[in-house]
Amino acid sequence: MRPGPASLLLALLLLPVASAEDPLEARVLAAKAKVFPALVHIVNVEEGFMLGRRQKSVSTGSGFFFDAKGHVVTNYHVAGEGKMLVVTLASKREVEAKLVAGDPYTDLAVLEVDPADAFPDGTPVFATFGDSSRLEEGDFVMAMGSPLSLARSVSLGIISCRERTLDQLEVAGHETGRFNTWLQTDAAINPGNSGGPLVNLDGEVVGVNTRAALLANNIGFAIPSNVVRDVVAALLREGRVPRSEIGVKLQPLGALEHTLLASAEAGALVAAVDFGSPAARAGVRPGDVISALDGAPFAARFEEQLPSLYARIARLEAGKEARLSVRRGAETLEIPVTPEPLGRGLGLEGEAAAWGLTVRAITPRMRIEMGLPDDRGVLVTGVRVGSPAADKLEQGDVIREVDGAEAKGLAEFLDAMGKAKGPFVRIAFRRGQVADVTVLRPLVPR
Amino acid sequence: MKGGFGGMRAILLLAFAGVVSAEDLPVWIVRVTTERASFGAPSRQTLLAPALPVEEGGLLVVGFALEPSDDKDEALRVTAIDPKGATVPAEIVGGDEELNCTLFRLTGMKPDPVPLEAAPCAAGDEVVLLSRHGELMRYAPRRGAARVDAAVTSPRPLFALTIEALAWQGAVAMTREGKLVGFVDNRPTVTEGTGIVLGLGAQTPVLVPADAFADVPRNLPRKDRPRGWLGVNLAPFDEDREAYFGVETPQDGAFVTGVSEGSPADLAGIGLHDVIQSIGDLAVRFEKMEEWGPMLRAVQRLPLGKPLACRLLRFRQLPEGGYETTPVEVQLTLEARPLDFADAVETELEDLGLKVKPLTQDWRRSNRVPADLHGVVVTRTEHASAVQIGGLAVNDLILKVDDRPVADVDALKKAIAEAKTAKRTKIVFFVRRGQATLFLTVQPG
Repeated sequence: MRPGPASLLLALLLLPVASAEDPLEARVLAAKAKVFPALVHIVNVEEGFMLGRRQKSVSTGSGFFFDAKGHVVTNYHVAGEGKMLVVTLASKREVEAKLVAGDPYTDLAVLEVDPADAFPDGTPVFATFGDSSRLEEGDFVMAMGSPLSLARSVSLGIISCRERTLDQLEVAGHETGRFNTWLQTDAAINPGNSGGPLVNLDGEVVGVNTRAALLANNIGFAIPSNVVRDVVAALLREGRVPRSEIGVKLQPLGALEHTLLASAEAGALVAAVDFGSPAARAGVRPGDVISALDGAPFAARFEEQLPSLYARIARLEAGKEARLSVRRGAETLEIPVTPEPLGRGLGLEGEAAAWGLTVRAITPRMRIEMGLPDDRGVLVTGVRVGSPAADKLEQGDVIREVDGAEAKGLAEFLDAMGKAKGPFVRIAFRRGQVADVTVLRPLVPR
Repeated sequence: MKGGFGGMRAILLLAFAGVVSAEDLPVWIVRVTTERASFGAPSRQTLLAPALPVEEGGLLVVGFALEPSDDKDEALRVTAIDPKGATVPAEIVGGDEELNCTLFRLTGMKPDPVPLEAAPCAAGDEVVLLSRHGELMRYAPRRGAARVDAAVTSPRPLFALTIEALAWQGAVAMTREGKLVGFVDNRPTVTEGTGIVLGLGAQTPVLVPADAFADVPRNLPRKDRPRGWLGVNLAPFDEDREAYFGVETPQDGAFVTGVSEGSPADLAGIGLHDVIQSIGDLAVRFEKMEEWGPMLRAVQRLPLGKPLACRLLRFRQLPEGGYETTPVEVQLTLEARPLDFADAVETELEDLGLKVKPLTQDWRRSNRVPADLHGVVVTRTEHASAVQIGGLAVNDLILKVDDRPVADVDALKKAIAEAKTAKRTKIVFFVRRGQATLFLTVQPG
């Protein structure tokens, strides 16, 4: 007799479901129990600059305690530039936090909560880091955090890829991910999960949930815990992650093998050399193949291998000569290069409120990417409608002089604009290739 | 105001059959069809306008100013329909925004031109309007009439027409005797001298005498007629810039905001922030952006290769902070304008699915390419072609192919031909994208 619909439904209902005795569920519950109490929801009030004025905004995200001192790790894009931070503990109690330091290059930040507030019963509750290098595709992981501000949420999935590279992710103008690969997971990650832990079934944090692909089904990305551990240690120790650079952009050799440019020998191709950088001064050229750094092999066949090479350059001591072994055509060269400290990607921003202008200091990185002749002046980031600067200056202009004096940087510019007297202030600026002048007249004539 | 606008007049849509024949003025139709992809489906727009043959195989259309399109995502088809209904291919020569007109060029034929001379016209006169809107009207030119309500002079004679003429945008106007008077152009306002505005609504139909367009065929850029080139960026020397330099008495002139290296201006010693007041006999006046077009055209008409005295105002910063103004005279020899990127010849490397253009001075400037870099610019990569799969993109500047410098399009062709002859399975392109460089591999075939 063929089974009828009623018997089919019954069969479905009688399918075995996981129970507390199920090893997977038991491990999930145990792992959750270890990390969940350390989970926090973060509300951050930060100041930004928009439409030519300073403005406050609120963002939310996730984080977790990782030591007994009340330190919380989260993403830089959640709280790295926070002014007023409130965290909600697993007990639903709200407490204040303060920013310790942040690292935009890895999109990580460390906050501090007074241990008396964080652990009111005197028992520290914090999560421990696992070894992300031991992860494999298919390992079960849980994402914990506040998706869409729905605090204390847990989702379950697996590691989909353990070394993903992502192009052009920027946090505050820094190339996030340049020094690390990402863990890809199908554990649901949504806005608000940022900064929350990715947890293995042993209840260890193996990543910090950071990104998710839009318009996709559960393609999320986390920063591997081994990267998090190093960055957090540096932030607590020095308030920053010291890094060096030599000013090269690298390409893996894989696609170029068996071409006139690259032999089958290992190395990393120099795709670009920043103008005026240590590598440019040392004579490194695009097309060179770096085969060793200070005598140790230096090679990338695939994109995924590049972050570790950039990280090795970043670990060089600034000011101390390093040695590049380079193949240039048939030649083999040893090129000494002196690394420089890696600076901010984007300069600090400020507001000349009376004139309706927000501006940003120009960093060497901005100079290179914008093709500016030098890093003098300040970049106009916004012009307030109806202000003295409206219709005179535009976003993207570079102000070079105020009342005949050079605007060397943000502080000098803001100072000069604050001191400006007379019926107008004279501004010399560049707009693309054009060098122009104008005058700004105060709304209330002096 | 020289004539009375005098309220609404009787509608004058008179039948002129038997008074003027269609052959009196050979009115053509220009048909411009643009097609571009929009959300995956082609979006097509067609513009039909009456046109009058003018010198050198040109057709003049009044009512809009078009430029040849360099938008690669837009397909443009231009045809002209002669008074007997035959279709002829045509192309856009260029537009004059000030006169709101466009010159088209017929391909392979030169009809007898109509001299752009205006028959006398005055307020109170009636004019016959000829148009050929719509293909249904192909064999029966549309006719109407309008009365000239007012004669205005600003900056040239214009005639305000009865409001019914609004629907006759671009129409050719002639006398009842068949003599050309001008073209109808609807304008938001019509001013006479300063402050007098005529207009009954959002638009006023205006009759622009034909002689206003007499210089259009001569002034528009032609591939076979070099334009004079200074090599400077200019801005109006307006109140703000005068205030910046402490100039108390308003001065005529154009303010220099950029000088191209090696350009005629550079060689003459014209510097950044000089004010050009005259070149030869041409007094340079540029106080408002509206004056940009006429000034540019006047400069472009100056003789080439002949030293011209150029009067400048030059500012020198004083130690106490102000500026000293000094009149300076330099000798300037204008050159033919270097080829613009838009006008540069595009070359197709069909088997790679690649189109390129030479690196021109204007492209170099706008993309901040250092003077010591040479290459060719990618203008198109065919969908799913070898170069697109390899990662080449529009606006990449190809610097090298297989480590061979590519200084021009011929060098690119040669390098690729060589790679193919050598049967290389991968060709390495070294390109500049933005301010960085990268290597891309292309697998031909």
